[in-house]
Amino acid sequence: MSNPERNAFNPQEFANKPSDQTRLPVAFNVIHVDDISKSKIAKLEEWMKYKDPNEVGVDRLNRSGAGTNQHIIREIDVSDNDNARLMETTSLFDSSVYKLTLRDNFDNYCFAYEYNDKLPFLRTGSTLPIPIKLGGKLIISSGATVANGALLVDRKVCKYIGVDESSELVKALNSNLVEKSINILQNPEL
Amino acid sequence: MKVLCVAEKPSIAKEVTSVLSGGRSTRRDSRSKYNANFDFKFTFPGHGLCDVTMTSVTGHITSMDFPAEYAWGRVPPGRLLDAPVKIQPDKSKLAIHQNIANEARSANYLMIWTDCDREGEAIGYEILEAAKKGNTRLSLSSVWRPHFSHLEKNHILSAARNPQNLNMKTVEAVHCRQEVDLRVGASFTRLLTDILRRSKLVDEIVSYGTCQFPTLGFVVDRYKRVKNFVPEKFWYISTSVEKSNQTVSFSWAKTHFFDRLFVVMLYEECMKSTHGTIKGVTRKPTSNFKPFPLTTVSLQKDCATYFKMSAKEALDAAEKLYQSGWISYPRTETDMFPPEMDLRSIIQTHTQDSRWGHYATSLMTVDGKYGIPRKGRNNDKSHPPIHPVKYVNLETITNDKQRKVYEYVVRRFLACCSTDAKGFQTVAELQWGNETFRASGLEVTEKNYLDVYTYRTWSSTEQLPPFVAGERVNLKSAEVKEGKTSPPNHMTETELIALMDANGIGTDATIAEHIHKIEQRSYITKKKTGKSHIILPTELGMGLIEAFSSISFANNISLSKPFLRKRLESLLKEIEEGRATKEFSLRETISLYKNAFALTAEEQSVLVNEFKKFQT
Repeated sequence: MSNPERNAFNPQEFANKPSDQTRLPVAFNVIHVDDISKSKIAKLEEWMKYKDPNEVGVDRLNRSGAGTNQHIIREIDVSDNDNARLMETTSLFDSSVYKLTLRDNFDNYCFAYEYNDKLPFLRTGSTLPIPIKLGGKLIISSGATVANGALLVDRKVCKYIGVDESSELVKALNSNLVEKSINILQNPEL
Repeated sequence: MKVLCVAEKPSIAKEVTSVLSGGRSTRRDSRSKYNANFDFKFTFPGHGLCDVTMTSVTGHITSMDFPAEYAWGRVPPGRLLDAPVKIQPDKSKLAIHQNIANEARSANYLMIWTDCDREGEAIGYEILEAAKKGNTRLSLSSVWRPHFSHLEKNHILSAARNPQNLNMKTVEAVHCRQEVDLRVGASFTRLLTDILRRSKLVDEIVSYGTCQFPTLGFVVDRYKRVKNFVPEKFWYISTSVEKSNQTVSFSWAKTHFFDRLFVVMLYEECMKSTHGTIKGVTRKPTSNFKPFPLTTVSLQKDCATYFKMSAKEALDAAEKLYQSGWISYPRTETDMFPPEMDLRSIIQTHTQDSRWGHYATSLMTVDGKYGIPRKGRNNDKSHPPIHPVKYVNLETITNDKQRKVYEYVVRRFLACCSTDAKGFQTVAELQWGNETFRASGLEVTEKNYLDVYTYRTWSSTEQLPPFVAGERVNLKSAEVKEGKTSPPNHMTETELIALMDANGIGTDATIAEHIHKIEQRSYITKKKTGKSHIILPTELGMGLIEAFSSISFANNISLSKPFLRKRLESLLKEIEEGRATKEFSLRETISLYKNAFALTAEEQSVLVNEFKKFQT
């Protein structure tokens, strides 16, 4: 049972256990990636930039401006001193924490959270709000923490294989991604 | 040898005359009631003692317009994007034209004492053209252009003795800007007004401006953001520790997350540990930095924040102080003092003041009090940062706004020449399970610049009890708490100025004017709520921006966002730097607006329907 493709992860089995560990390596497809350090409105605005920069409010400072050829200054720090400006430049650290929606080969879905680590495969320098192409293969090795049915993962237990461009799943998940993401964020009940 | 000097304003003519003549001038009335002529003698290097006449204009003396056959109603508005334009004497300033032509008759040289900025250079060219009407021998080669940024005696004398040439590239840039503003402003204003009047939605003229609409766009965007705001829940771990009878709250290093399950899981992990450990205690020196040298935009922002003045009021007050010779030229982007500037002599003049004199004296006499000013990133190479030029007793400034601005300019200058405020920051780091929490205390030890720059505060906080690294502590409280995102604030003038500056809408000199214009045109309204003054769009303003947003223009352009204007501003810079021609820049810009115009005209019904939604 060491072939992760043949192993399943059923979160139901762990639902009532505050903390446990996976016993086998499991292969998953990454169905969705969400940065839980950001509010929905912040994520929505990021996506809107890709749809049409003219639809995004220009009343705040966009510090990255990346991804569009029209750099919009959308928000300004108007604190009454220059100290805030200095602080900003020194505190630009990566505050993102990603929550992955995973599906194993037996159609079991679960969540995996980055835990006390920054997973390198999610930090590709992509300017899109979703940092990797969806549908890629991720192997989570045995010994990963499971709490309340969700995985808490760090780089030691993750092996990212990447996407198979010819896969129907990859095509389906990534087609029209901007529109889909905006739609979901604008209609959370969907 | 006769030299005709022309200043941009009567007050500047008077001040410069006073310096160059040493107080020995004769005043003559001119055909223009407010623009007197002053006769005196002055020695110009290489030309000896010359007869000088100093006169003035009042800003631009010509205007650009379309020929009469292109008047409203005579041609379709779109024709104005291609129509010929003519530069002609401003009808209200014919007396000034005549005075310059008369005084130029016997002049060998023309000395242009207009402000040393883009518009000042263009006004200089207009003065030359007026002078040529009276003296055809005058040409660009007989124009002297002194460069000055304040009215202090030695500075003015040096500028008069070392004049340069009129910069025609700058003049071309202004002509380009004027032509774009005229063509686009007139065509879209007529189109918009005609469309909305036909639909009986407005009676008055609905004016479009390439700067005003993006400015209005900022206000509308913020209003919508506030109106559409929906609070979102977030969760965080909150802890406190009791030590030496003091309860200390520790903040979670990860701040918060928008996922309750995740926070609860982290909390449960922490709960496996019955106690926390002080991982480390650091006490480090910290500074509160003195301000950068003062630019126009900073002046406007600070006057809005500290004195609730509009950008226009602040700039008007600063202009008056400049014209009185008390502060340097107030339109500048430069936030670094030139190395050769004698800052100490300026400080010296302020030692006599009853309010800040004691502080100024300490800068001159106490070791370690004086500090080299910080250097910003901007240098417009024309003017130094705004600074006091002459000492004035505040009691003698009768205008309340001017008094506040003068005091602010002086205090800001003295702050720039001071040392940073200093203190110590103590940070205690608590480890509980896998999570880190921090508490801090600030002890301010030297206020330095804050003693004179009273607009800012930086105070000591409650000190931390004596935590020791490795110390085991019991948590007094540890819980998962829920919070909610707060709505953004409505737009303030301070923020609007900053946004316009950052997005290249207008220049330091015109930002105030654009805000004032959209208020006059009832596109925005200012409202006082609590301590702050907020800016809201009116129904008319909302309707206009949303109407334009409803049209999908080609090439991703927008008539209510800042991109097009920003693009024009950078083209103007390229003209000034000789990297683009006026013709090329005009062609590029107008062609974009032409496409937008055609689509606006085509999609009239969409525009009207969207506009209607916002009218009650």
